[in-house]
Amino acid sequence: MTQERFTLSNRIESLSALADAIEAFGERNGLPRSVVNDVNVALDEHLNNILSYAYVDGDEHEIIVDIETDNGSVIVAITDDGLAFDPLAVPTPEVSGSIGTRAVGGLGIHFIRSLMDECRYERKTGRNRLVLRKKISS
Amino acid sequence: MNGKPEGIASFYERKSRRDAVFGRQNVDIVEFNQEDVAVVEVRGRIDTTTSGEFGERLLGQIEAGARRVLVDLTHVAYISSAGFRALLIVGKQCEEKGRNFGLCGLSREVQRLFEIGTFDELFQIFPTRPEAISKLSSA
Repeated sequence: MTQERFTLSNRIESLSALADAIEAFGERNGLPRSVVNDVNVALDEHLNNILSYAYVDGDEHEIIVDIETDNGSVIVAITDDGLAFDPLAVPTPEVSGSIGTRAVGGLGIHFIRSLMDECRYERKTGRNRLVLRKKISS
Repeated sequence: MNGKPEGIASFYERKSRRDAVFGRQNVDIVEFNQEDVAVVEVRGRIDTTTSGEFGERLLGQIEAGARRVLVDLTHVAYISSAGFRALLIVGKQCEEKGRNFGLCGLSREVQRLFEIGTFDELFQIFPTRPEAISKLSSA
Protein backbone atom coordinates (compact mmCIF):
# COMPACT_ATOMS: atom_id res chain seq x y z
CA MET A 1 0.00 0.00 0.00
CA THR A 2 1.34 3.42 -1.01
CA GLN A 3 -0.11 6.56 0.46
CA GLU A 4 0.47 10.24 -0.29
CA ARG A 5 -1.07 13.52 0.78
CA PHE A 6 -1.29 16.71 -1.26
CA THR A 7 -2.38 19.97 0.32
CA LEU A 8 -3.59 22.70 -1.98
CA SER A 9 -5.06 26.15 -1.60
CA ASN A 10 -8.47 27.06 -2.99
CA ARG A 11 -6.95 28.73 -6.04
CA ILE A 12 -7.28 27.59 -9.63
CA GLU A 13 -3.48 27.59 -9.99
CA SER A 14 -3.33 24.63 -7.60
CA LEU A 15 -5.18 22.34 -9.98
CA SER A 16 -2.57 21.78 -12.69
CA ALA A 17 0.14 21.13 -10.08
CA LEU A 18 -2.14 18.55 -8.46
CA ALA A 19 -2.83 16.87 -11.84
CA ASP A 20 0.96 16.69 -12.41
CA ALA A 21 1.46 15.22 -8.92
CA ILE A 22 -1.24 12.58 -9.53
CA GLU A 23 0.45 11.63 -12.81
CA ALA A 24 3.78 11.30 -10.99
CA PHE A 25 2.10 9.17 -8.30
CA GLY A 26 0.70 6.95 -11.07
CA GLU A 27 4.10 6.55 -12.69
CA ARG A 28 5.82 5.74 -9.38
CA ASN A 29 3.21 3.08 -8.65
CA GLY A 30 2.93 1.65 -12.17
CA LEU A 31 -0.74 2.60 -12.55
CA PRO A 32 -2.33 2.35 -16.02
CA ARG A 33 -2.58 5.71 -17.78
CA SER A 34 -6.36 5.29 -18.14
CA VAL A 35 -6.77 4.95 -14.36
CA VAL A 36 -4.64 8.04 -13.70
CA ASN A 37 -6.62 10.04 -16.29
CA ASP A 38 -9.95 8.98 -14.79
CA VAL A 39 -8.79 9.97 -11.29
CA ASN A 40 -7.61 13.33 -12.63
CA VAL A 41 -10.92 14.00 -14.38
CA ALA A 42 -12.86 13.13 -11.20
CA LEU A 43 -10.57 15.40 -9.14
CA ASP A 44 -10.94 18.23 -11.64
CA GLU A 45 -14.74 17.94 -11.47
CA HIS A 46 -14.92 17.91 -7.68
CA LEU A 47 -12.29 20.61 -7.12
CA ASN A 48 -13.92 22.85 -9.74
CA ASN A 49 -17.14 22.63 -7.72
CA ILE A 50 -15.32 23.35 -4.47
CA LEU A 51 -13.50 26.38 -5.92
CA SER A 52 -16.67 27.69 -7.54
CA TYR A 53 -19.18 27.24 -4.73
CA ALA A 54 -17.80 26.03 -1.39
CA TYR A 55 -16.21 29.23 -0.13
CA VAL A 56 -18.08 32.48 0.33
CA ASP A 57 -15.63 34.38 2.56
CA GLY A 58 -12.95 35.15 -0.04
CA ASP A 59 -10.25 33.79 2.32
CA GLU A 60 -7.59 31.23 1.54
CA HIS A 61 -8.50 27.67 2.51
CA GLU A 62 -6.72 24.34 2.52
CA ILE A 63 -8.01 21.41 0.52
CA ILE A 64 -6.47 18.04 1.30
CA VAL A 65 -6.19 15.26 -1.28
CA ASP A 66 -5.14 11.84 0.02
CA ILE A 67 -4.35 9.15 -2.52
CA GLU A 68 -3.46 5.53 -1.91
CA THR A 69 -3.31 2.23 -3.70
CA ASP A 70 -4.86 -0.61 -1.80
CA ASN A 71 -5.94 -4.09 -2.77
CA GLY A 72 -6.18 -3.47 -6.52
CA SER A 73 -7.76 -0.04 -6.24
CA VAL A 74 -6.78 3.61 -6.12
CA ILE A 75 -8.55 5.45 -3.34
CA VAL A 76 -8.72 9.24 -3.35
CA ALA A 77 -10.17 11.30 -0.51
CA ILE A 78 -10.82 15.03 -0.91
CA THR A 79 -11.39 17.01 2.29
CA ASP A 80 -12.46 20.68 2.37
CA ASP A 81 -13.77 23.05 5.01
CA GLY A 82 -16.28 24.76 2.70
CA LEU A 83 -20.06 24.90 2.90
CA ALA A 84 -21.69 21.55 3.62
CA PHE A 85 -22.51 19.90 0.31
CA ASP A 86 -23.17 16.30 -0.62
CA PRO A 87 -22.38 16.03 -4.34
CA LEU A 88 -23.83 12.52 -4.43
CA ALA A 89 -27.27 13.87 -3.54
CA VAL A 90 -27.38 15.81 -6.81
CA PRO A 91 -29.64 14.13 -9.38
CA THR A 92 -28.10 13.02 -12.68
CA PRO A 93 -28.51 15.82 -15.21
CA GLU A 94 -30.23 15.43 -18.56
CA VAL A 95 -27.62 14.20 -21.02
CA SER A 96 -29.71 14.04 -24.15
CA GLY A 97 -31.09 16.58 -26.59
CA SER A 98 -29.78 18.55 -29.53
CA ILE A 99 -26.88 20.97 -29.39
CA GLY A 100 -29.34 23.87 -29.23
CA THR A 101 -31.11 22.55 -26.13
CA ARG A 102 -28.30 20.92 -24.14
CA ALA A 103 -27.48 22.55 -20.82
CA VAL A 104 -23.87 23.64 -20.40
CA GLY A 105 -23.52 22.85 -16.71
CA GLY A 106 -24.16 20.27 -14.03
CA LEU A 107 -22.21 17.44 -15.63
CA GLY A 108 -19.32 17.18 -13.16
CA ILE A 109 -21.02 14.78 -10.76
CA HIS A 110 -22.19 12.65 -13.67
CA PHE A 111 -18.57 12.30 -14.81
CA ILE A 112 -17.38 11.40 -11.29
CA ARG A 113 -20.07 8.73 -10.87
CA SER A 114 -19.44 7.29 -14.32
CA LEU A 115 -15.64 7.12 -14.02
CA MET A 116 -15.29 5.87 -10.44
CA ASP A 117 -16.24 2.46 -9.08
CA GLU A 118 -17.37 3.80 -5.72
CA CYS A 119 -18.17 7.27 -4.30
CA ARG A 120 -18.84 8.05 -0.64
CA TYR A 121 -19.52 11.38 1.07
CA GLU A 122 -19.44 12.38 4.71
CA ARG A 123 -19.67 15.63 6.64
CA LYS A 124 -17.63 15.54 9.84
CA THR A 125 -16.38 18.27 12.19
CA GLY A 126 -17.17 21.06 9.74
CA ARG A 127 -15.51 19.37 6.77
CA ASN A 128 -16.73 17.73 3.59
CA ARG A 129 -15.01 14.50 2.67
CA LEU A 130 -15.54 12.75 -0.65
CA VAL A 131 -13.93 9.33 -1.02
CA LEU A 132 -13.54 7.88 -4.51
CA ARG A 133 -12.40 4.39 -5.41
CA LYS A 134 -11.20 3.29 -8.83
CA LYS A 135 -10.31 -0.31 -9.62
CA ILE A 136 -6.86 -0.55 -11.15
CA SER A 137 -7.86 -3.30 -13.58
CA SER A 138 -10.64 -1.23 -15.16
CA MET B 1 -22.32 23.76 -6.04
CA ASN B 2 -25.61 22.50 -7.39
CA GLY B 3 -26.66 20.32 -10.27
CA LYS B 4 -28.82 22.90 -12.01
CA PRO B 5 -27.91 23.51 -15.63
CA GLU B 6 -26.56 27.00 -16.12
CA GLY B 7 -27.11 29.26 -19.10
CA ILE B 8 -24.32 30.44 -21.37
CA ALA B 9 -24.51 33.94 -19.94
CA SER B 10 -24.03 32.75 -16.37
CA PHE B 11 -21.20 30.46 -17.48
CA TYR B 12 -19.28 33.41 -18.89
CA GLU B 13 -20.16 35.62 -15.94
CA ARG B 14 -18.79 33.00 -13.56
CA LYS B 15 -15.76 32.34 -15.74
CA SER B 16 -14.82 36.00 -16.08
CA ARG B 17 -15.26 36.45 -12.34
CA ARG B 18 -12.96 33.49 -11.79
CA ASP B 19 -10.45 34.78 -14.34
CA ALA B 20 -10.43 38.12 -12.55
CA VAL B 21 -9.76 36.41 -9.23
CA PHE B 22 -7.38 33.67 -10.26
CA GLY B 23 -5.68 35.00 -13.40
CA ARG B 24 -5.26 33.14 -16.67
CA GLN B 25 -3.59 29.86 -17.43
CA ASN B 26 -2.11 28.77 -20.73
CA VAL B 27 -2.65 25.58 -22.66
CA ASP B 28 -0.63 24.38 -25.63
CA ILE B 29 -2.87 25.28 -28.56
CA VAL B 30 -1.68 25.65 -32.15
CA GLU B 31 -3.91 27.16 -34.86
CA PHE B 32 -3.35 26.96 -38.60
CA ASN B 33 -5.30 26.73 -41.86
CA GLN B 34 -5.32 23.59 -43.94
CA GLU B 35 -7.35 23.47 -47.17
CA ASP B 36 -9.76 26.16 -46.08
CA VAL B 37 -10.28 24.55 -42.66
CA ALA B 38 -9.17 26.33 -39.49
CA VAL B 39 -7.41 23.60 -37.50
CA VAL B 40 -7.03 24.00 -33.74
CA GLU B 41 -4.58 21.45 -32.35
CA VAL B 42 -4.53 21.01 -28.59
CA ARG B 43 -1.90 19.29 -26.45
CA GLY B 44 -2.31 18.22 -22.83
CA ARG B 45 -5.41 18.32 -20.66
CA ILE B 46 -8.62 20.22 -21.31
CA ASP B 47 -9.85 20.84 -17.79
CA THR B 48 -10.86 23.57 -15.33
CA THR B 49 -7.47 25.25 -15.71
CA THR B 50 -7.27 25.28 -19.50
CA SER B 51 -10.88 25.26 -20.74
CA GLY B 52 -11.20 29.06 -20.67
CA GLU B 53 -8.26 29.54 -23.02
CA PHE B 54 -9.44 26.60 -25.18
CA GLY B 55 -12.96 28.02 -25.57
CA GLU B 56 -11.74 31.52 -26.31
CA ARG B 57 -9.34 30.36 -29.00
CA LEU B 58 -12.18 28.48 -30.72
CA LEU B 59 -14.58 31.41 -30.41
CA GLY B 60 -11.78 33.59 -31.80
CA GLN B 61 -11.74 31.47 -34.96
CA ILE B 62 -15.49 31.91 -35.37
CA GLU B 63 -15.27 35.66 -34.76
CA ALA B 64 -12.44 35.86 -37.29
CA GLY B 65 -14.86 34.39 -39.85
CA ALA B 66 -13.65 30.78 -40.15
CA ARG B 67 -16.33 28.83 -42.08
CA ARG B 68 -14.95 25.43 -41.10
CA VAL B 69 -13.33 24.72 -37.75
CA LEU B 70 -11.65 21.44 -36.79
CA VAL B 71 -10.36 20.60 -33.30
CA ASP B 72 -7.59 17.99 -33.39
CA LEU B 73 -7.57 16.10 -30.07
CA THR B 74 -4.86 13.57 -30.98
CA HIS B 75 -2.55 14.82 -28.22
CA VAL B 76 -5.21 15.39 -25.56
CA ALA B 77 -5.07 13.11 -22.52
CA TYR B 78 -8.57 13.93 -21.27
CA ILE B 79 -11.41 16.44 -21.31
CA SER B 80 -13.30 17.22 -18.12
CA SER B 81 -16.79 18.71 -18.07
CA ALA B 82 -15.31 22.25 -18.05
CA GLY B 83 -13.83 21.45 -21.48
CA PHE B 84 -17.09 19.96 -22.73
CA ARG B 85 -18.90 23.13 -21.63
CA ALA B 86 -16.52 25.11 -23.83
CA LEU B 87 -17.09 22.71 -26.76
CA LEU B 88 -20.85 22.97 -26.31
CA ILE B 89 -20.75 26.77 -26.35
CA VAL B 90 -18.62 26.73 -29.50
CA GLY B 91 -20.89 24.13 -31.12
CA LYS B 92 -23.95 26.26 -30.40
CA GLN B 93 -22.26 29.33 -31.87
CA CYS B 94 -21.35 27.38 -35.02
CA GLU B 95 -24.90 26.15 -35.42
CA GLU B 96 -26.34 29.65 -35.00
CA LYS B 97 -23.89 31.17 -37.45
CA GLY B 98 -24.00 28.32 -39.98
CA ARG B 99 -20.36 27.31 -39.53
CA ASN B 100 -19.10 23.78 -39.98
CA PHE B 101 -17.51 22.39 -36.80
CA GLY B 102 -15.81 19.03 -36.29
CA LEU B 103 -13.44 17.08 -34.05
CA CYS B 104 -10.84 14.45 -34.83
CA GLY B 105 -8.14 12.26 -33.27
CA LEU B 106 -10.05 11.06 -30.20
CA SER B 107 -8.19 8.38 -28.26
CA ARG B 108 -10.29 5.51 -26.92
CA GLU B 109 -10.31 7.18 -23.49
CA VAL B 110 -11.33 10.58 -24.82
CA GLN B 111 -14.01 8.87 -26.94
CA ARG B 112 -15.36 7.26 -23.74
CA LEU B 113 -15.62 10.69 -22.07
CA PHE B 114 -17.63 11.94 -25.06
CA GLU B 115 -19.92 8.91 -24.65
CA ILE B 116 -20.41 9.46 -20.89
CA GLY B 117 -21.77 12.93 -21.58
CA THR B 118 -23.43 11.75 -24.86
CA PHE B 119 -21.43 14.44 -26.61
CA ASP B 120 -20.54 11.93 -29.33
CA GLU B 121 -24.09 12.44 -30.64
CA LEU B 122 -23.77 16.22 -30.76
CA PHE B 123 -20.61 16.75 -32.79
CA GLN B 124 -19.18 15.63 -36.12
CA ILE B 125 -16.35 13.32 -35.08
CA PHE B 126 -13.78 12.02 -37.59
CA PRO B 127 -11.12 9.37 -36.95
CA THR B 128 -8.20 11.24 -38.52
CA ARG B 129 -7.28 14.77 -39.51
CA PRO B 130 -6.99 14.02 -43.28
CA GLU B 131 -10.46 12.48 -43.26
CA ALA B 132 -11.86 15.43 -41.32
CA ILE B 133 -10.26 17.99 -43.64
CA SER B 134 -11.57 16.17 -46.70
CA LYS B 135 -15.16 15.95 -45.35
CA LEU B 136 -15.27 19.46 -43.90
CA SER B 137 -13.76 21.19 -46.90
CA SER B 138 -16.16 19.52 -49.33
CA ALA B 139 -19.18 20.54 -47.28
